[in-house]
Amino acid sequence: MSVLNSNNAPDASVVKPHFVFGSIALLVLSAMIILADSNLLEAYFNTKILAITHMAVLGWATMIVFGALYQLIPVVFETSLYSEKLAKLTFWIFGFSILFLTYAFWVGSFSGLLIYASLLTFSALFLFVINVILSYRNSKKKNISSKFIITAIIWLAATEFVGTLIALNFKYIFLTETHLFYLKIHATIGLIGWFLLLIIGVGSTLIPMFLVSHQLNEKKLKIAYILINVGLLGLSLNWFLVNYTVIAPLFWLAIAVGVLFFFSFVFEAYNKRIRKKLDIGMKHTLISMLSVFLPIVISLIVMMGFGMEEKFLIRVTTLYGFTVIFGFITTLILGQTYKTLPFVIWLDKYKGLVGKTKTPMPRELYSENIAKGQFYLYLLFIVCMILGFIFNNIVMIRIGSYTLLIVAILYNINVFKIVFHTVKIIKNEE
Amino acid sequence: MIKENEETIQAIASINKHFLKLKNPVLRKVLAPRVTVADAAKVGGVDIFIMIKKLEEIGFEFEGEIPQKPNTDNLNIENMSSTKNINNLVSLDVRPTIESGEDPFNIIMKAVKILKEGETLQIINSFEPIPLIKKLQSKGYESWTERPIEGEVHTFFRMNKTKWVDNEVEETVKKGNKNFDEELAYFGDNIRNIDVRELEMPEPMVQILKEIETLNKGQALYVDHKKIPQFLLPELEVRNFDILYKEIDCNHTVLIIYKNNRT
Repeated sequence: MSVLNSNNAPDASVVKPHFVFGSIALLVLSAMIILADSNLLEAYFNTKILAITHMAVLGWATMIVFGALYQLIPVVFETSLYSEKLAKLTFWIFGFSILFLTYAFWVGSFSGLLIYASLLTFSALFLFVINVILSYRNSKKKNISSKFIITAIIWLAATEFVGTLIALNFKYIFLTETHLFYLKIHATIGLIGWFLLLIIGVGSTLIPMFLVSHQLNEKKLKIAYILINVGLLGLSLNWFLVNYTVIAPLFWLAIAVGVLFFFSFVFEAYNKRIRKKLDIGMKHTLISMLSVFLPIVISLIVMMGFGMEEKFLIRVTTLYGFTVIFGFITTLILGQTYKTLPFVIWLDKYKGLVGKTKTPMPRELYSENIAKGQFYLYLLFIVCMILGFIFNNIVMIRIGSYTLLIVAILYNINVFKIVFHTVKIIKNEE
Repeated sequence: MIKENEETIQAIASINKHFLKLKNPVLRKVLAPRVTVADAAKVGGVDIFIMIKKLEEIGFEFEGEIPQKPNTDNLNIENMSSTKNINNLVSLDVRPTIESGEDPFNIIMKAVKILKEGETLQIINSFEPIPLIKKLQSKGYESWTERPIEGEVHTFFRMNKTKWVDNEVEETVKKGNKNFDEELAYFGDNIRNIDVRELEMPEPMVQILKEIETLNKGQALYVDHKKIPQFLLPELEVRNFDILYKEIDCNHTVLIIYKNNRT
């Protein structure tokens, strides 16, 4: 029982392509935002915003999350990935389907290309879900973090199912409500069920690990798990079955309180940390955690309306999506890339040399200055976009868009520096 | 184990009807986590090898050592005194409690608490309550069992002042892995100690790999770590090192690493 001889770590060739694809997707995404221009201030369900959203959540965020998860499964589940071959196959199908899907949205081919694109995306995500569930089945360690991850993956499958239904409905009309109604469900379970739960699951393992904090109160996570899932399940069942607007705020409250419990866990980890100095990866992470309050407040405004004018509320809805995708998710991914990717490459290139000779550390694989520049420019981007949405100001949106392009370029330089790192042996000076 | 596989109950129940009691969900919940396979085999009065074989049939792998020598608990039977010689016998029949689906543990513990010096507690049950015996032995009680008729087990407890065992110590040893402690004892002083809990990833791995390069022949490395280092394992295998671990708590795991061509 105590002899450990298994090799659980995945091959670097499984993880790397996801980061390469993801960082290029960020670049494409920033170009799309520049091209969309004033479309960004129109209704949130226009073709350009739909294309941008799918490029952001699938091509950028989900792609990198997949890569990172393949690396993290051994740490969180204490088992190896069920199949590396399946993971590689999933990557190719998923990569192609994202480009296809985004193109279908961009050109507005709803009753034509979109159906095939969404079916292809569905099959790619399905393969991923299968791979992770089979890995989880072998897992000996079923702690709260792995529960969050596996639940997130089930929500991902549900999101994709609703998404595919919407796509099919454009051609074979069979749904009873309007598309916007289903879009609301699709977006809610995608952002909260998939991303939020996943981030809590991964974050509750990684954040204390990187901050080096001990003896944290895991009960907070358990409460968060129950509250968020009950809230989300209640919200979706309510929408599908009875659609009482009166009880929706109750479920909203459950989710919001659940998120606060997670926040409190992170805050505890931050206070009890042994590493006092925060590196660039952790700075991103903490900004991301603080930004969680924005979507909580904004979603309340979207839900209640508070008698504000319709045009403003539509922009606020876009702002809600923006704060979740860019404020929370993207900030976290930008930072965690600097914690995860250098380690993956470092492990791959130096594992045979460690201990025998002096080797560089993972953080020496990228440029710290580029990462810092990227961080401050990214904050500028967030502020500009929020102001642009609130005040309906296209100049702010444009400044923000071009700032994001620079951020994406800086990020790509560092990612490629890490991925194509060549082995350097530091000569012992002593 | 039962949590993992419902079939387990069926399989072990097929060995001995005593285990059918495990089908009672309440009883199972309270009793099952307290016993090991060896204990269970003893409770039901069956051979541990049959038990293990049966479990393997339904897909369990048996890890660790099968106890070769008879369990020391059995020795208690040798020095048991006959019921007739006991003064101040307090008798407690827990069979009705178990039949009603409740855990008799608390009732027994209450009875133990009010037990006066010189008094002996007699528990009448249909099986040998191994977890209880272990618990009370660790608190310094002397115990022995009798099987006067088929299907009836009498267990006796008496305070024994001379055999006081510290509760705390015994529990830590039990929790630990036998292999781990044996190896630790084997190396004795020939062991180097590092604590990597306060280092940021991947420093722990770097430190460990650095240390093992400089280990003397026959020397082991003892590491205080936060968790089982997943990414270190394949590297140790390549370098022909073995690793054993023991979990102290959820934030502390200790490891012993040594060259595997030692013997």
